[in-house]
Amino acid sequence: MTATHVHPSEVPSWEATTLLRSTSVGRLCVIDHGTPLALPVNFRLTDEAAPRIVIRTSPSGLLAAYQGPASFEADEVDEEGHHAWSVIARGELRHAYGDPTLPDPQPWLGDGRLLWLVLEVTALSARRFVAVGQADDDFAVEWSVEG
Amino acid sequence: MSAALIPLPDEACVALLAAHNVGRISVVHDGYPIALPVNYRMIEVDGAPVIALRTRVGNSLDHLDEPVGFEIDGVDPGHDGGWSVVVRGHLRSVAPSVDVESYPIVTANRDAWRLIVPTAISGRRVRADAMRWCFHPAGYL
Repeated sequence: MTATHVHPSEVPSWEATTLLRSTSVGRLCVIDHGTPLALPVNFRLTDEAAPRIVIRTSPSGLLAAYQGPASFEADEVDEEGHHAWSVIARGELRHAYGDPTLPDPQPWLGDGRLLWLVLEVTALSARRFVAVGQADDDFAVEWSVEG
Repeated sequence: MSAALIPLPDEACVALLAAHNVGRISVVHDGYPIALPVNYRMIEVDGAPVIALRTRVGNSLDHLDEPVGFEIDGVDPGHDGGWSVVVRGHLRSVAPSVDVESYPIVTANRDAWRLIVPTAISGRRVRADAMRWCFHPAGYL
């Protein structure tokens, strides 16, 4: 099954924020030794009009070794509701020390994730997708950008 | 009891790449590393795994001959568990053929046929508390 005419459905930024608040897992995208890499992380948004993304990581890990231009991606698929979305936030990633106002992202892995990272978001975009049919195996659903 | 992070063996990483068809390619675009969802198919070239995909010519992910990342995961927000596979490689152009077809859902204008040729593949999983582990449809996207 193919859709031949598909138009991206951009979502307003306030709705992108609402989508981000609906989940606790996303992917932080940084540059490691010249290669851009996205790694799954637990996160929280600050309670601000222009929210920042807060992550905790290990001080000795790959994410801790990078500060600068970065991005964050989250997506979610509702198979029963036949819709899905993805959000991408761009900004500056920096280490945060001693800021008690930041919400705790409470990483699943409690093993020394003591370094707090903040992505100062400068651009936010979201897209919605709709299910267009069953894949060949009858289990997976195929997705297309909402027209 | 706290969750634990367990490295996945190479064979498991390749099997997961082969079993899925949506991942996220990471590129540096306008100075920012960004991850974009894409349809893909894992193919084998000389016995080695390669990620095949199609995109629009000149699309934001189309950074030919540059280092790129590729990631798939099955993360379950409700149950504190999941897995991920991360590929490092380079984005190469390839001539269209059935051997490198990735069967994108949308084919219109997806005329840039690309391969991510891996230089490294690694994976890991989070083992949640025993009774909390379960599978979730998001793991099969």
